[in-house]
Amino acid sequence: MKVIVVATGSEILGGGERGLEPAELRWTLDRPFIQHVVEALVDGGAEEIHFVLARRPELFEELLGDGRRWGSRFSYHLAKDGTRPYGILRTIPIGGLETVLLVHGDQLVASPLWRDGDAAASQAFVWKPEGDGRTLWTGWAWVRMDRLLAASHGEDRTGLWGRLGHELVMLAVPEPLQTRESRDFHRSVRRILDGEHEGLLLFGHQARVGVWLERNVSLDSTAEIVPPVYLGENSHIGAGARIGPGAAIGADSYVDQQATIADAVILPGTYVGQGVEVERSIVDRESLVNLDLGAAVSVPDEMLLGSLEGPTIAPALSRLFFRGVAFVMLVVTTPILAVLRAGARFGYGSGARSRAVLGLPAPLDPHRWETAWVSEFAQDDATGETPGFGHFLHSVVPGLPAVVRGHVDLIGLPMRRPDEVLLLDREWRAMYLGGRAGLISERLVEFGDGARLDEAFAAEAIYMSRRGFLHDLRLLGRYAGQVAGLATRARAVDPVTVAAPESLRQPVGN
Amino acid sequence: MNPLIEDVSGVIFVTPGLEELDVVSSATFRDQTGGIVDSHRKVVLDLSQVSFIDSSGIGALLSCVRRAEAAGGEIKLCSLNPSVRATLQLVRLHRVLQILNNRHEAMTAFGATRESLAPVG
Repeated sequence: MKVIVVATGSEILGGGERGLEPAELRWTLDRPFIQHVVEALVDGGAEEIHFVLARRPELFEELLGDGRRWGSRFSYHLAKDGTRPYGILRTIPIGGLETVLLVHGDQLVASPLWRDGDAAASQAFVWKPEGDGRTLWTGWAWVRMDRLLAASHGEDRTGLWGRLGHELVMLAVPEPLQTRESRDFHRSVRRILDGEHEGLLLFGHQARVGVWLERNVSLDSTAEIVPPVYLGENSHIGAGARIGPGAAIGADSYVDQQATIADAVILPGTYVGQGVEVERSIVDRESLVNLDLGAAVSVPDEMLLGSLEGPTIAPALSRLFFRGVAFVMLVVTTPILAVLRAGARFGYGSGARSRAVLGLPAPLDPHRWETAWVSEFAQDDATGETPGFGHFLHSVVPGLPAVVRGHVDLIGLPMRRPDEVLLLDREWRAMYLGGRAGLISERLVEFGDGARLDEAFAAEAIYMSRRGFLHDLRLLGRYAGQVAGLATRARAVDPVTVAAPESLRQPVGN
Repeated sequence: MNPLIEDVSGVIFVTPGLEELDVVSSATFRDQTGGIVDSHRKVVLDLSQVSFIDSSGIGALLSCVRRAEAAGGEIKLCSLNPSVRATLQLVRLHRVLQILNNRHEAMTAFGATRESLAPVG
């Protein structure tokens, strides 16, 4: 059986601060949602699965691999536009007359239904919400490849259904599991716990009817468990806590004493504080989505809700090392700094000024941002930074006190004002907020003056994926070479000026 | 090392003779490939031999994309090794230019294969 799984990494609707995570990768009890989909497909006889990916494809590929682990063959096809991803289908090596099972990876239809369908017929699986006159497509269908290509050309999902719906026989199925909207996701988890979704098994040990425990669960003897409940691997339930009914506690989570969790999903790595009551909600570290109010909030008090991701030693030691380097540089350059400041006072050269930059790392909520002040000498050149001796004198030397104080790092992401950060698109911004700002950046060293948006993003993304002591040391070495005139940099200004691709143009902040 | 250039049914496949596309090699790559991109409409960069890419290399690829667009052509990538593929996905390069798994898919993407999945009337 050949399957095409469209998993474009759509954002979670109503997901609050954590809504950027691809919906298909949302942790659903004991594994990501897409893994439940894949395992159902493999169990149903899928020998060849083609994934159409768009957003964060590297996460999907890393998770699922080449399919050997499941005795199947997986291949990945990258769509440029996640909202209209079907153009890439024509490159998939499946003959026009072959029938494939089309799946949208953010929904999971109960397995016996699509398996038992006559694959030679063209069928679309639909369902009707209770008390609702609508008929909704699950995103799953048996369809001939040539018809799929014709119907999908230039369309988004709604348009595809609009064209396919006329051609296919509709087969009614029970409500599928869904992950894209928070309300649907919560409902899906509850249906799994209640045993309402046929064909999906959890790996945990069922300690008693309706209570699943994964490995290494720490459960205080005074905690009360009311089924159905799922407790993820390495989770901890404190004294006097009441868990359930309808509670799913994710792996590596900590529910402190006297807390109450009912009809709620606690995602992995979350801390729930003493005495906190969580009901009809989804909690993902400090982010809480209340399903009754339809509101998502970020809880700033880590004693109530928080993340269990702690600082690691190696990055802290690396930062300490570079602070030491900055201190030495400051001592050596203090006379130069004094001369520059004296010169500015008497009208020679530019005056010193302080600029406010966003302190990193920062939470996603802008109301909780803090600024740091970094000194620099104003430059006459309005085109910005260029690595060289002038940049070293004007931007690095006066900024060294801020590095020594720990407000910014010597090597890091480019410093930005808070309003500049708000102009970044959501994914870029989320990535940026997780880093640390520095006087010297990969963007500066690689692209220097006038880096385009796509180059700037590439440099920052590369830095975030490779940052560490050695990489920072290499960047410092290259910067030093450029200051000394010994190393060249790639010119960022191309002879051909072409507008940046639409997806990477300067976005409007949201 | 000079790139290998092949014309397959009107699609130009360029295989750079490089294992690493980095600060050392990116300028040469940009110069060699840029000339090809300026004069051909359908170009596929076969990066099967490239095992490492950094910001400079990505900048060189972006430069090629811009030159292709300015010349009214299109450039695609194919046959990336897993780590290079993951790096390019991370920086969202797949939104700027098409990344295909192999040469056959690249040919199909340019509509240059004999097998066509024509819709049934």
